[in-house]
Amino acid sequence: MPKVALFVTCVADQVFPDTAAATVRVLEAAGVEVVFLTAQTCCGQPALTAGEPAAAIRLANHHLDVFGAFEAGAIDAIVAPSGSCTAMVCHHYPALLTERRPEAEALAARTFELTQYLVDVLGIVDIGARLDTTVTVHDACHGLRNLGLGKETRRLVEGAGATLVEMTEPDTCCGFGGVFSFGFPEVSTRLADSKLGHAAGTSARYLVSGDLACLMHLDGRRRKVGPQTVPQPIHIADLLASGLPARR
Amino acid sequence: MSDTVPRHTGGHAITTPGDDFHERTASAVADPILQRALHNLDRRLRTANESAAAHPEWKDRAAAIRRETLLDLDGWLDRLEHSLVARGVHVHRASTPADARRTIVELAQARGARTVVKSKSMATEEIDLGNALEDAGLTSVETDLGEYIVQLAGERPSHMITPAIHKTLPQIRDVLAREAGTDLAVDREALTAWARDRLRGEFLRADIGITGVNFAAADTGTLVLVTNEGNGRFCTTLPRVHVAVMPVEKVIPRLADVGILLPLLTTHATGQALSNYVTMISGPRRAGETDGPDELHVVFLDNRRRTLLGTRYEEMLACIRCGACLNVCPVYRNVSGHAYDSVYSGPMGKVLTPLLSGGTEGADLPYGSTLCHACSDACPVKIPLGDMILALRADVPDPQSGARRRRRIFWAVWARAWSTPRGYKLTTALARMSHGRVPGLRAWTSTRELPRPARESFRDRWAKEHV
Amino acid sequence: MIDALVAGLRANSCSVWGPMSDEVARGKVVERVSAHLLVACNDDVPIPGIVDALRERGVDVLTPGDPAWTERLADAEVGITGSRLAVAEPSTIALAAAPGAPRATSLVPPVHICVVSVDALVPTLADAMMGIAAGEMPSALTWIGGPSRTGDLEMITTLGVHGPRAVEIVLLG
Repeated sequence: MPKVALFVTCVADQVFPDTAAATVRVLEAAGVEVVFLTAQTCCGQPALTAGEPAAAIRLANHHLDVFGAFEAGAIDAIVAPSGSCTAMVCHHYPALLTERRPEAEALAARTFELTQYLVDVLGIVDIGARLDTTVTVHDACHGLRNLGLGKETRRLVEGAGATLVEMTEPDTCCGFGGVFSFGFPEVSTRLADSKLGHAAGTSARYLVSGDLACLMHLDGRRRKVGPQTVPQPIHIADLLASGLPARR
Repeated sequence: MSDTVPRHTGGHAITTPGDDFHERTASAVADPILQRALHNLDRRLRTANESAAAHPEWKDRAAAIRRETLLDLDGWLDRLEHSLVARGVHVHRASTPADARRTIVELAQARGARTVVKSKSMATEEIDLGNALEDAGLTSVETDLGEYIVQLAGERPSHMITPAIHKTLPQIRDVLAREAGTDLAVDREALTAWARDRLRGEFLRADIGITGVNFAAADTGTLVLVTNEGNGRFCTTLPRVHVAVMPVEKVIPRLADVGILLPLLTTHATGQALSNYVTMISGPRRAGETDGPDELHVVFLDNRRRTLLGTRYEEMLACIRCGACLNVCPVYRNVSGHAYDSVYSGPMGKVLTPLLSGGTEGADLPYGSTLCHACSDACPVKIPLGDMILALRADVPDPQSGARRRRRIFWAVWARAWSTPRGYKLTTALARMSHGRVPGLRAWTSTRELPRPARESFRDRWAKEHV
Repeated sequence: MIDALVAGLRANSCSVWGPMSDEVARGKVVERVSAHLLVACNDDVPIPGIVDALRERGVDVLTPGDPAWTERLADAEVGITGSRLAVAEPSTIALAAAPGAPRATSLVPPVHICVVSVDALVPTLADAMMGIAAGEMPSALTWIGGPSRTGDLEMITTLGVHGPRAVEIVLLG
């Protein structure tokens, strides 16, 4: 049985614990044993994007201390329900942690985003979830461009029996961008409106993505604007977990 | 829907230095005519994307050629100068925009020149050559149709390939009709025909033609110019003197390299397999030839470029100015070029503007990015634009040093708290108790709902379930 | 390769005739321009006797050796040039400046007719560049893929901005 450490991410931990729990359920349904390290905090990405790499490096060192502490073979992988936080570890850590580069590269090599781990590492597209619904996918940028993801979410959605309806420009940014959403709220909001408009054009029931930050932004805009004719933004873990048989 | 988005004003303490770029993006998003004009860009995006995807292997080869050049930029420049001089070309080296302007103005004055025709060139925009020539008493006429419109309107190009993309056809008619002194129809053919006639006269009487350079081959001493309208050809055919302004990174080792670089440039710029006109110039008019300039001058422009060599920003000098990063950028596509208030806009402008100005201009540009990396993906020579934009947030000195200090303190305190599980639990518990009502969220909440922290964190839930 | 050239040029708003023999080409070109009052014709057009044939038909032909070339070119309605190099993909035709082959013939008149032999065709631009870089470069080598065009007015193509509105390619062979 593969064993993974959950890299929960601060957003899922503090704001969307249900999604974190759904991630565990999905992994377990795929036959994976999940462990959780309570010493983990945040990968440091907010500070990096704010232009404060020194603060980000401090968090990155902590993250490396926590997840690098496993003995060789003790776990198979580290899995996060976020393309963006995974990209922080895989794409940015080796460049930031210059004094611990071999450790950082080893950590990056075994850190995966949820759908990447299920589909690309385990080769599973059907975890036993059954969904009788229609879904459109938003390709979150860091998963798409830093990790090369795209097909994974779609295969899982279809593997669960849902109907996939592609929107216009599924790979265009939703406008969140971390600090950008505070510093440039007008453009950020405009981009959310474009994304929601494209999603609405599909008439799908759900707008699924692999990053909670995008979803928080899109759902925040959707709730502010109403009436709610656009698909419900939902994380891939929540969607898949909703189709799993009830737990004994 | 967002035409009604209330405009947020005031900078944000922990995110953005200054508020100028932000203010301009907000105005652009709220400008319905600009938004209508910008929709036209989407057409280009589609065609350029499709043709660019046809030859993915070209990117690797082009990126390798550009990096080979940067490994020995000074060497290639020396070889280029040698080849050009051997062909009877005059080479001038300008380390600053002022040097370049002075060289060209003096050259024009020494020849008693009165009228200069210019072909669209970002380099001449960078050194603000048109104004320098006008100040020296010369008439300087932009001859690319879009750039001519922008010049008549007293504006700056808003896109490096399509300078007047921010204008609708009725607006363009107004600009041209004002110059014509008569009414003109809102009709593409009629407006183009009027501009053709007017500019034909300028070409015939011009004393000097000024162009940029797309590539300059060191081995043969050949300048390569890409145009579609033919104005670049006029500038290098009729006037007695041709002056080419060449930023130093335009040098390529071998003329044969353009076999890869040219199609890559044009597919990414306009979606064309090749532009309509490619002119390869190897020296002035030769004995017995009927036309072409008697004198050819090339100005090598440095303007801090060589200081980037050996830094993490060196690869920015691989840029071939195709505009692909502008066309895919979600921010550019919604605000257009003028919002950047700099010669270079879009993702490459966010990187180049602060670098070429030594941080005195465009310090806030790198913050106006969602870091979506669409630019890095689109770049035909694989410049990691997204990573550079991110790195510049730390590396560009903040014009307001007090704000930078406050930001550093904020994030240092945050990092100190969150680098221990105890500090993390304590601060998140405080946030939970305040129901997420922490200061600085108005910029978000005026247009979007913000979820509150959950009543119970995942870690607490996990601890309960796994005693 | 010829098909690719023809398809590419046509897609880029050129007219293409041939491939055809010199004889047929001469007749076609004379027919094509006979209604025009003034035609500029470079010395390197690879159809033997083309200038005489045009004059016999009553067309006023301006050649680069004419002392009034520069002044009269502005009035020419058609410019005829030769070419010794064409690329199939991307489809484009090279004009080398030389004595008797001015740059402006393909630029100033509103119609440009270019005569090129299919023997001058190479598969790709990279092939062409390898060949060119090995030899001596002309003062100006101009690659032409179609009529002058712009997308500056709301990104919709308009032809004939500064250069010719029409480009017609005559293939010999």
